[in-house]
Amino acid sequence: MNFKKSLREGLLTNNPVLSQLLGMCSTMAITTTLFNGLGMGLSVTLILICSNVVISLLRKIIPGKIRIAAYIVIIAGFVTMVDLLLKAYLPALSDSLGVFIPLIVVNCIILGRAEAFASRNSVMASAVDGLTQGIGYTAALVVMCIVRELLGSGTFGKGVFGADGIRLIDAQYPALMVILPVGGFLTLGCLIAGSQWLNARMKEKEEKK
Amino acid sequence: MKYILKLALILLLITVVVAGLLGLVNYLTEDRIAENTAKKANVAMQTVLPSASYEKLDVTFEGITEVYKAEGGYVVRLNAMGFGGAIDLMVGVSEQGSVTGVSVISHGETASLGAECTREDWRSQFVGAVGGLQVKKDGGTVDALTGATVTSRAVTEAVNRAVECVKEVRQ
Amino acid sequence: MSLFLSLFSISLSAILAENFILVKFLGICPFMGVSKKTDTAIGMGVAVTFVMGIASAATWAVDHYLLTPLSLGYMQTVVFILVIAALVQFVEMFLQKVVPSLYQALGIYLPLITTNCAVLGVALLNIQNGYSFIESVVYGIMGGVGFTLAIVLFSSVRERLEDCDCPECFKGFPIALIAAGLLALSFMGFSGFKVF
Repeated sequence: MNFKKSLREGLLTNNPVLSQLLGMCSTMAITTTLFNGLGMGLSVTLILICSNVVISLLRKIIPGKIRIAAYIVIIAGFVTMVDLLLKAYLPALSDSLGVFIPLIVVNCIILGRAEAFASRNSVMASAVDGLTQGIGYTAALVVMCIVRELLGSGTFGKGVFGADGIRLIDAQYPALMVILPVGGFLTLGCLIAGSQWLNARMKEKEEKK
Repeated sequence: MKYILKLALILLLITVVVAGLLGLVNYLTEDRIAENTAKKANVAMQTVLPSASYEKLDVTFEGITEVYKAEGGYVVRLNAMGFGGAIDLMVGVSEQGSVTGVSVISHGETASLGAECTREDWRSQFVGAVGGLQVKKDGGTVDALTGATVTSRAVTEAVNRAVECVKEVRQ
Repeated sequence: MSLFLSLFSISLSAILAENFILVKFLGICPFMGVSKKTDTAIGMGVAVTFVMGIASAATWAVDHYLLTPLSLGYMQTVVFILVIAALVQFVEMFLQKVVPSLYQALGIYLPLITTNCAVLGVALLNIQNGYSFIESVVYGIMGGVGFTLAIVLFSSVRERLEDCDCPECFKGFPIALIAAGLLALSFMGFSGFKVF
């Protein structure tokens, strides 16, 4: 059914990071190792699904005037739950993401999806939307992480495959800059450019048909 | 007026439900989180100065979080102001006043740069020091981490502070 | 004297070495969203600085007099975001009644500030770094000044980017991000800049 279309939207045509340009703070800040990216992506996906479902359930009860405040409270609740669970069961991830876990509250992707989708669609559709948008976000993070980790520290999968990951470039050669804030901006810029190019090409192809 | 009350009530209800759920999750995870924290601190203490028991001392010294008496020395817990915020450190100091080990409990440093301060081969250079350390850039002997002078300076300064604190405690 | 020195050191690092946008990546959304014109960038910067200052004060007080004594630390995120949302609402109403001219200028940015991660970020960082009340307020305001500095500098770059000739796929956002990257690179010169 719609899942395939929704997944395509989440990953490519309507990717939360690359097309909607939301949630850029975390996208640039924590994408220094694959471990961080995967952890952040999965946490956000989980929160996105939960908040979408709950907001969709309550969409007829919450009056329009206070909806933003209500959404924020609900989202903050889920974020804190994930924060506590990570601290209890995955302390290593919680340490390396630090303040960016509580900051998921103000990640515009979640509030954006609540406002644009969950508040006007059924529970099932909202859950699917949360999942596919979350996957899109995670995919963007993972690509950023792989590029930045490879170029910046010369490794792959630090923290995922052993403490030091797989070393692909000798320790003295990587361009440190890519791991630093500068690298975040440059990598994301190139990535968005790439996705714009891809989308433009796909559109062209469809028009030719 | 009635409408506003209704709005406030709904918002209050949502907040109460969320708070209740959080209380529940907190109740369920609290012990485990405390256990994790204690375990981490304990592992750090064991690395810097192995001992069968640690006795917390009642000491106040500027910039020191906690001081423990171990067999054959002291363990000092303190914060260093690194590049990305506070670095929580454990420093072991022997009875003779030389450093027996340094361990990082938590930090917010940049991955691959300042975050390398947790590496064993970097921390081990502090072992045997008796205070007054400086990084090479400032004319001292400590090898700074590549691209992370701020972190290296902060840790070095914290180690000096721990040594000073123990000097005071011994007297 | 030492208080003054530590406040000075906090201010400098909040504005330059630990610039909220270019080094800490907090508040990127408004940074990219409202930086097309210098006038609007200044408006946004002033509004954010204002809210960051009072939000630092309010959240510090709430944390120290309410959450810590009641050991409700786990409610931190929820309470902070509510305090910030309420504060923004109050500031909006207050300005509308008392200083309508300022409201006219800042009004449209205020609702956006609730979801600005720099504001929640500064509140959480204050607690994490163990700052005192004064230090928190100074850190909040100076963080806002750093935000303003970055967004105003960037908006003047961006005004020129509008008519630059670059590859089709880089038009708009990507080229702006790359320009922001170069700005971040120049701010790296301040890293390690510390006054003791």
